[in-house]
Amino acid sequence: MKSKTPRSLILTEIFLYILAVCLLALDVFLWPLSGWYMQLRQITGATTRIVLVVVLYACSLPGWMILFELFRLIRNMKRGSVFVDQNVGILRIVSYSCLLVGIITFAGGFFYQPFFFVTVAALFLTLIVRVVKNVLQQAIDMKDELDFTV
Amino acid sequence: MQIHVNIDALLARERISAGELAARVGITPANLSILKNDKARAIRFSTLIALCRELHCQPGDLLTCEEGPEDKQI
Repeated sequence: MKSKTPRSLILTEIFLYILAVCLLALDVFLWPLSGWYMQLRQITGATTRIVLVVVLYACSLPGWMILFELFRLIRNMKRGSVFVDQNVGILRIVSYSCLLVGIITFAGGFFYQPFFFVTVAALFLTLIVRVVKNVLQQAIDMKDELDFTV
Repeated sequence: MQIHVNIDALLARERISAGELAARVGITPANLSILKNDKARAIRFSTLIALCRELHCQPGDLLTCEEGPEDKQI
């Protein structure tokens, strides 16, 4: 069991790097990608394209924030400091970033309805991350109590 | 209210050092320091029994309830 943990962490880090590259590619090629998407779904209208681009660029900001925080979390876990207050703060920022994505896509949904699906997914993810954050906080409190039991 | 662990006075009475007491009781000096400085959140019965045995006292001699600056969250 112990030998599996570092491998799992390395795998998670690789996935994070892949996600970062994907997000960077999306940021760089968003305008041509949006054109291709509109052609594929047979959507017309310059306003929709602008809405798509603006919403996705706005969502990429919390996306970068989430990636940065997850890299910090992985680095802390590699160091062996799992049950620390800093990780609770990291999960809090991740949950707020998910919430921000939910708010942005909710606003975008009034111009392009499929964004509402992203809103639901983002809000659900916010809830999951917040539950994990609360569990971690509880675990830290319990560890603190155990550390000071002589 | 907070629990004060009265180790210093008992150590002086028994004329043993903190390090020696830690070794006899079977806890680390760091943990004994936590006890001495009233930073402990809980104490195991086994530790309490060992402390009472080595310091020739009762739990009531070792632990006293005192008015603290703020209540400890237990």
